[in-house]
Amino acid sequence: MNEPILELVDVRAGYGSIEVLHGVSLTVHRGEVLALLGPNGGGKSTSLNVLAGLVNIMSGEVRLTGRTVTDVGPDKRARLGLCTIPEGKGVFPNLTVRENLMMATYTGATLSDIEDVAYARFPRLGDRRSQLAGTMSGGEQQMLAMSRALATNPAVLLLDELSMGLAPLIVSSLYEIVAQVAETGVSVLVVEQFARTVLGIADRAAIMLSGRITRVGAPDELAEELSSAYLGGKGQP
Amino acid sequence: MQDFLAYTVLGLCLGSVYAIAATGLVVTYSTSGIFNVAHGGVATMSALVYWQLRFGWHVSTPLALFLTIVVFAPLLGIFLEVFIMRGLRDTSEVTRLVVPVAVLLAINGASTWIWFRNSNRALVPKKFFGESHINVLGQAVYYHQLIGVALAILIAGALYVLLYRTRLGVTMRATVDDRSLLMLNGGRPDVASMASWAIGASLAGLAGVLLSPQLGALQVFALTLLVFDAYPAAVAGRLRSVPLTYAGAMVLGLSKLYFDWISDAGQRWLLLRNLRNAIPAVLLFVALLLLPQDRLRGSVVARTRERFKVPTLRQALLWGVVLVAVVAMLQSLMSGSAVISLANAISLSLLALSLVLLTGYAGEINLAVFTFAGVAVIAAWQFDVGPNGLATKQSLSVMAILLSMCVCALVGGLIALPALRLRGLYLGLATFAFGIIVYQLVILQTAPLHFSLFGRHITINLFTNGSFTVPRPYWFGISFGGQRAFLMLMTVMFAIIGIGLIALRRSAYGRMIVAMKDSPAACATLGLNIKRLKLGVFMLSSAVAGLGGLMWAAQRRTLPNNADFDGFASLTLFMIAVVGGIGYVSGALIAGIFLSLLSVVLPNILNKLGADYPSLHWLFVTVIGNFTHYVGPAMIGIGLGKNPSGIAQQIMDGFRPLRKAPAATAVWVLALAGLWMLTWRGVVSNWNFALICVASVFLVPRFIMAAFELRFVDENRLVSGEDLDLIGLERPFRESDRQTLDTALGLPPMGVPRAAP
Repeated sequence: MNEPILELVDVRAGYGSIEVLHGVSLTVHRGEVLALLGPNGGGKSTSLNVLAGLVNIMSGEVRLTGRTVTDVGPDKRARLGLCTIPEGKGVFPNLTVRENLMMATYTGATLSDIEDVAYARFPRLGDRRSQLAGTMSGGEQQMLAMSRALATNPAVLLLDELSMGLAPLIVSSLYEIVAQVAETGVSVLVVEQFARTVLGIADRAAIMLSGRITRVGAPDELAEELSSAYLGGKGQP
Repeated sequence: MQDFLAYTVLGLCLGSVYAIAATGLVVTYSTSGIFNVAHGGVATMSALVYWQLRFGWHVSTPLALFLTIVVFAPLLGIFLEVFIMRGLRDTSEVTRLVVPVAVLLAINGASTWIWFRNSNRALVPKKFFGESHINVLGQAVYYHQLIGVALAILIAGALYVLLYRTRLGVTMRATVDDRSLLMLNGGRPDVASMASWAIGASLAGLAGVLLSPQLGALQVFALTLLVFDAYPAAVAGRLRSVPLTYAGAMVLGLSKLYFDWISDAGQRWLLLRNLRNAIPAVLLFVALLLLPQDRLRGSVVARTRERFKVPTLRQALLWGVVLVAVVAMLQSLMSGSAVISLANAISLSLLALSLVLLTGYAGEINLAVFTFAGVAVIAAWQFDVGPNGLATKQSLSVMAILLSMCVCALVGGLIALPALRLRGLYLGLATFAFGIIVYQLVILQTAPLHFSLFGRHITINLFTNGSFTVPRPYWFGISFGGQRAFLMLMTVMFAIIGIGLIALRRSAYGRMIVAMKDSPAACATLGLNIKRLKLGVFMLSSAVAGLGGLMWAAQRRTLPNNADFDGFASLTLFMIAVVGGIGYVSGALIAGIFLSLLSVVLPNILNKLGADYPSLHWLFVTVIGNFTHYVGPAMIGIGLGKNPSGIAQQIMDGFRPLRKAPAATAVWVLALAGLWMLTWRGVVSNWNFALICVASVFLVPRFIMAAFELRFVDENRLVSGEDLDLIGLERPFRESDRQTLDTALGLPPMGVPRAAP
């Protein structure tokens, strides 16, 4: 197996006095697609936010390419090559498409490069470059959000519930893009509730229940375990 | 026609300066969501700094301008953002309004302290290029004004380029949209916020320098009010749109100048001679009414840091009795002047009670509480005393109080009715505008108003000769004319209304208004008529404000029309009430005591100390006295950002340990009662009594906590027992310890494992 690029080491985190993650350890290796699966309220999004730096941890460690980044802010982590696309709101609704892309330049890429990549991959965005992002359809907004991942050449891509509220056809085309991004050597962590959409492209998968990782393995190994996890049969400690 | 054109040119010149001032407000609001009331204060201080550099130290004009607009004002803006405004994230709209009010008072206090501490010096600002002017249609237009127009055009262009063409500007807009997403993009929202506050403050400074020559001599509050005039323009732009703000500013400038033109500079209609000063407020009101309907919020339940607990009715009754008893015991020990201070405090607390209902429970804002006091006094006088004056009557009758409460409720309803669709900040601004309008057009009238209605001649007595004399009640054969009796009357009133408010809060109606505050959208889906609810709450709180206002006026006996009604007093009371803990009846009490303490008692004590120790006069009077006088209330308000639930909450938290130790508490209370007895009999001096009381209030809860091994697990839970971190170290770990730990950590309960059979 390759070297780890992004790690959670025995992380406890939560909101206020409520602990949500009870000691989570998770490793994304260089160049792999890891799917983080599990039912609602299991702590998947919290794990992702901990990785992105939006949620402070109570104990444990977050490492990027082997170095501790626990105390590094989310903006610094983004400039270090962590590209996070949060659930359902990956765009600035009151900025135009072009201005949204301009915000991606903090990672070091130039605006013209980002625009070239985005409009070549999604011609519809090119037609709407001066439209407010909030007035576009959900699918187009996700395209805009994905453009950031495509154009800024990140080290790790973190995706939260890409399928949320979108038509199945659009979801599968978005995941094709994720697969393409992964082929260029980018490590990807995908958080999903609907496992089937993502198992096809994942190299490994992890199941999360009640704030703990209960299983890590190859996608086909986990496929049957998943249904029982969702129905609350096994996995409960 | 020529006049018309000339006044148009002058109006546009004035409008340009308003545009600069208002644009600064828009820049800060649209990037931070904070309506920076302190904008006027920044402008004022910048104008004073410019005066100091240019005319005090004779620095050349360009350098003085550079140092003021490019160095001083932006630094002040950045300072405000970093140390104060940044702490306001995730606080309610009320807190986000109150803290800038406090900052305004602090900046103005500091300006007064720096420049006008010793005397009322005349700092005369001059126009750029002196009196040089060109003639436009026979009207002199000064170079100074032309510079203002040029700068306004330049700034509009520069802002457009900044906000839409540069990455920094787009980042500033992105910060408002989604702060955390911006960070995920790698952007630094803090830098963007600092930049926007620097730009906003710089624009304020420029507006201050440009506006200041309108005043013969610089005065802190006059100049601040001059900048306040520009606020309606920002509201016209919905606090977001720069072009609309410019349009609003032009309307503002033109209407002022046109009014000058048609009214012969206010000489034509005496009744309306103050209308010029009220024009901005009128336009503010109109702009607010024309704003498009705010969508019902509530799709996302806002998480705010404010938390208010509701006492039970039994607790309320108990504390009401305790309050009356304590005030009765205290006043028996106090000297006459101290009783007056305490009575002042209680009268202000009564006024603040209206805010507990309106702001604390219903989440709406009224920035014109003192205006309702003025309305109540006019109404009571009208119904009770009549045009013949006080000589005919020596008592404030119950009927007059009830009638003036009704009048206040009606007036409150009348303002709220058009403003019903407004929320929070906008409703607050509407009430502020109403306060200014009433102040300028009604309260400043010194002659009675005569008119005929349905053939009957009616005279309405306004602040004739500049003041009202308000009698105190004479009820049930008891005269409340004396200070001590009146103090007790007001205390009983406060207790009764306070208990009533808590009963209201615990009723179905109370739940409805709290629900309305939390989520209007959810209320609407449940079938509640939000508009009726809001109107009702506003009227009820106006009535309470009327009652409080009458008592406040009766406490003062003579009510002059100058102070207290110009908007600042209402802002201050609102601020202190929020600081005290707007969600609690006790918060209102604390607010009254604070205001009285800071404005009367503390200066008296410090002056006394200064007189007693002449060698330390500089310390007590010059440094501490002036500082608390000018900046003290504001500093308390600024602290609110750290603890948005207010002081009442902190005090209650401080006394919570007493509940775990009832016996010790009873002993303490009895000891204090005994001490009071000794003081009353003259065995212990008042000074020692006060000292012991204050010290024991601070020490006893701590002592009890230490003695009973009590600890706060977090802000809400107080437990007794050992420290969880140390469990298992001093003795072996048991099953019960695991359950304790699980409970403390909020883990799901698990059955105790059974031994295998």
